[in-house]
Amino acid sequence: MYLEENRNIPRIAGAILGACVAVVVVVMALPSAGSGGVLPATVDLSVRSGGAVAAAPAAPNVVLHAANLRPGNGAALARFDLDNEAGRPAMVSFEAVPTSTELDSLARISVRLEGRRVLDATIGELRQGALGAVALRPGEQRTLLVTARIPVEIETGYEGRKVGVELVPVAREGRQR
Amino acid sequence: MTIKLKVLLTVLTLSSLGGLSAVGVFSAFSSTTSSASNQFASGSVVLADNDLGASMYSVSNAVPGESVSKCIKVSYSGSLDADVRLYTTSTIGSLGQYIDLTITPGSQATSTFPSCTGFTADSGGALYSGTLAAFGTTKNSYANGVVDYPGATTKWSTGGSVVYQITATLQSSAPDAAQGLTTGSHTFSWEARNQ
Repeated sequence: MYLEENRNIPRIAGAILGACVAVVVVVMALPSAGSGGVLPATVDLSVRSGGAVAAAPAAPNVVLHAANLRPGNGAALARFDLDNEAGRPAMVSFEAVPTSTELDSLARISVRLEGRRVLDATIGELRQGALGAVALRPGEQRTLLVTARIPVEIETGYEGRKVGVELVPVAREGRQR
Repeated sequence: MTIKLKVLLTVLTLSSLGGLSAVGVFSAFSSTTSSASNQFASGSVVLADNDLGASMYSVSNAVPGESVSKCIKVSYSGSLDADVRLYTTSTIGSLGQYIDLTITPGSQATSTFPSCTGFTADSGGALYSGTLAAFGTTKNSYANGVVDYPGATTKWSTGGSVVYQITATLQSSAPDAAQGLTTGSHTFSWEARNQ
């Protein structure tokens, strides 16, 4: 009786070992879920030229290629020139014509002039109407900075989205500075 | 336990292990496809000038031989290729028959309405040369308007522009009957239509 029990011990141990091996093999065979990189959003921004105000570089040339936008990082910056071709002072604001509404509430465009913020708005807000104000004397040319970013508080919805945004200067007669 | 039984159990065990690992491998694979971001958007025809609402010329007390020459830049920023024609829908007053009008396309390195400083005429010469009155009667709609394209192209594409030099002269030979007359306010219109 004692000998019989001793003989079963290796069998039981073998069975347990076999089961463990089976579990290990199965677990190792499963592909890891992986964290995977979340695709960034892309904004290609151009500035329309025409009317009383000429832009350089002008659309269809892309001024700003922001290809790595994620919440809180990847912001891109570029410069463009505005030239008042009207023979009188002009007050210039901006509206946006995006190729899609996918980043309307997610990406923000800001324009600065000599460190002063001219505008900071979502693409959707810029699509709704002209914002900001840049005063230009007749024949005056000024260089502006434009940035595109996704605010850190945005959680989702931007992944892999690619939107072209045409910034349209809207000029109206302004006061002489 | 016989050898046959042991062999059979070994084969069964190995088969089970293989089956389990196969299930583990293949069950993780999947494939999906989708068609996203579909949309339908219309194109645009956008034509603008640099006058900011101001007039090109306003001449009073003109004498025979008096002339004005002004330049206006017309720019196209629509997404569709377009044709552009120049015409007026204004009724030209009786002085119009004594006003010589010349419209010449060209370019400027730097445009500041209504200055013609640095204006360079295109090689093709004037688009229109005649009296203002004749312009008003023969070029009064898109259908009979003056056709023009930037440079040597045959379409207006986004970013295209032309500077037009408008020259109006009270004829030196204007008779006394021309005294005290007026052309009235008149508007030059550039109209773009997609091709």
